[in-house]
Amino acid sequence: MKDKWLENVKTGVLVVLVLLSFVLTGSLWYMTPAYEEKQDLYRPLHYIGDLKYNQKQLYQLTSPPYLLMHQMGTHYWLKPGDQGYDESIEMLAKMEMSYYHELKTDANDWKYLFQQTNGIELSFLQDIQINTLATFLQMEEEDQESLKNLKVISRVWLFPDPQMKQVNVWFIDDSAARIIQATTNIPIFQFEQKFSQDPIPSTQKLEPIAINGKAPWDPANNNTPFSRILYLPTQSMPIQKFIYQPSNIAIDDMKQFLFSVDNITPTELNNGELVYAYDRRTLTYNKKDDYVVYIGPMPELADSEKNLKPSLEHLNKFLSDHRGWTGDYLLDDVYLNGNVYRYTFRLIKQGYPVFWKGPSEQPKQYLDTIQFQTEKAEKKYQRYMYFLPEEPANVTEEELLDRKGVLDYLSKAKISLEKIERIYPGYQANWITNSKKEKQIILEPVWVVKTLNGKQELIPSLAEGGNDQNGLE
Amino acid sequence: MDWSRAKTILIIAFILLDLLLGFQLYTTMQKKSQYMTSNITENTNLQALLTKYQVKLEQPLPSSPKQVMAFKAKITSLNDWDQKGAEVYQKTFKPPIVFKDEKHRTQLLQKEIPKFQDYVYSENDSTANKLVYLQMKGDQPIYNSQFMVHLEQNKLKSIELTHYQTTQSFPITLSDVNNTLAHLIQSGKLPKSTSPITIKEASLGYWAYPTADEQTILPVWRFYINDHFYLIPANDQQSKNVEVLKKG
Repeated sequence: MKDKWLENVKTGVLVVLVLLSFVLTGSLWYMTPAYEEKQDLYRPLHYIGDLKYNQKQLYQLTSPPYLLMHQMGTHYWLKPGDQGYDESIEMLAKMEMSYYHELKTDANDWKYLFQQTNGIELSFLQDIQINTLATFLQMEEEDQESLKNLKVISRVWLFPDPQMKQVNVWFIDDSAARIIQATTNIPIFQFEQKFSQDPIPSTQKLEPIAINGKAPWDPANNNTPFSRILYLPTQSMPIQKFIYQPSNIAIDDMKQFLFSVDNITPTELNNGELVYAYDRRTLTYNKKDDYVVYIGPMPELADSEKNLKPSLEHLNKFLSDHRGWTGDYLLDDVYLNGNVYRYTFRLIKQGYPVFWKGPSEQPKQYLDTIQFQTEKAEKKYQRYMYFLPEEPANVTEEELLDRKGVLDYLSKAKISLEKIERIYPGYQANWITNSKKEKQIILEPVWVVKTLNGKQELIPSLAEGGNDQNGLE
Repeated sequence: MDWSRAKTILIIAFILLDLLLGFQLYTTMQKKSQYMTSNITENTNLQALLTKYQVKLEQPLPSSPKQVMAFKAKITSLNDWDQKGAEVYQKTFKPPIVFKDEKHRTQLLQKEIPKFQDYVYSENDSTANKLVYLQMKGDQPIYNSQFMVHLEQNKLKSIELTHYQTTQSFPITLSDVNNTLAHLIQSGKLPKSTSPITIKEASLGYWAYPTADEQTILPVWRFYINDHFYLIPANDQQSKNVEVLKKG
């Protein structure tokens, strides 16, 4: 009887002990700090972009996005990524020029350039200032002084002069119909070699179109100022449409590179902005619109209105240090207002410039541009917090309208040819949501039409209704 | 099977296990409570910390509100002043204006300074040849929005001025001044000296930071020690970033 009672007590004690062990284990589990809390504050550095975009020399960031190649009457585009583009850009950036003089041209000169010789034409996204061109070409102050009669540079055209055995260059201001010629130090055989080596891409043969309808190579137009020229393909242009799964930049990575201290805490405003501030630097992260604006010190550089290179070289180094170039970006626009310089770099993807969908005036910050502003001892850096990875998630073949299609489209849209500054192929970017409800970025091929009043129209590809009027922006 | 014997062994085993778990739990709790008090240390034992590090407070710490407003602001542009930098305007008197006494000087400044009523004289920011008035936002000064009068004996030589107009406001929860000071003392940033350190001023104010399109004016704690200002963000995220600015 006593034994049985003892056994019952033992059972009770055992049950209590087992339960207690559960309780203790549970409490211990709960009390132990989480692994993250125990982690050291140290974070390894996460560079943002790929190294290959962040080892560029300045001329690779200020080069023209298109080279118009003229080969004995055949015209075609050479764009970033095409065979021969990099070598040509390097040759142009390193050439020296001399013997500047203004030139009066006649139909024979233009006929020679358009039909009878080889030539390379630098084609920027818009007409540019001389000081902007000088960030790409080797132009000292004297060179720029020699070009002062030109208000803007619409195009720069290099061609051989077989008699003098030299390569000449024309700086052309299309609005004022003025040309200044100089002589380059490029050996003529090296220039001609470019055309014998690289085959002409068969699908992109272009036709020059005078915007006022008066071809400068026609002797009948000898007495009229020469016209601006647009280039459009004779056949519809095959081009790919891309969809990307974008990569996100962590704000902690940006913060870690832009501030010299390890642990900086932001002030969160109730409009969705996080403000990091320390040591004359501020970083504002707009969570709602996914962009950051950093303001920090800028060294006093031997800079002037005529020499933007020191500033741009500083900005390139500043950005490359955290690998902030997240793709191929090229200088698109330089805007000067008092002491404030604003530089806009534009994304070039798959060889074509990217424009985010939306109004071209006062656009919001997306991944199509990276912007800087410098003012005395301060610089401002503004960028989107998403970027396009190397590999697209989806590729579709499309076609852009041919010459006739574009001209028809423009006439239906009541855009007069005479008001057009440039037409070139590009991409329009936008967010889309796929069937799995993932947010992706689409790059749709478009003809970018820049008008002389600074506006921009985009003509969609054939598949997107480019041959009717529905796609007009 | 001998159940009775098995139970005895299990009881002993579980007693040992529970003792072990109990001990572990006790040490963990001990560590955690130490960690918690060390965080508040600073709060409850600020006095001990002041004694240990030989820091004296010239005035008691200000009692601070739980919440203040932060602001977006733009610079007030002054057309008839010279622009010295993006935010600073300047006026130079040629020849310098002579003043009779302090009252006369204030009258002159009142006449010269637009929105004079927005500024309050700050002795700690001023030097013998330079008077500094800070722009007030409510009860708090904006430490880097000021007008600075350069003097030469009893003459006004020049004035440098910054003024902000606020455009939007946002509520911000404030950090505790006791914790902030305790952190500053332990940060190792205070001057190393054998004699006691005196904190001449501990105050809540604002700092205007250049941000996207406008300035953002955020609350900061400011401590004035040995001709140096120690600035610590006053938001409740327990910021550990101490900025040291030399007076002058």
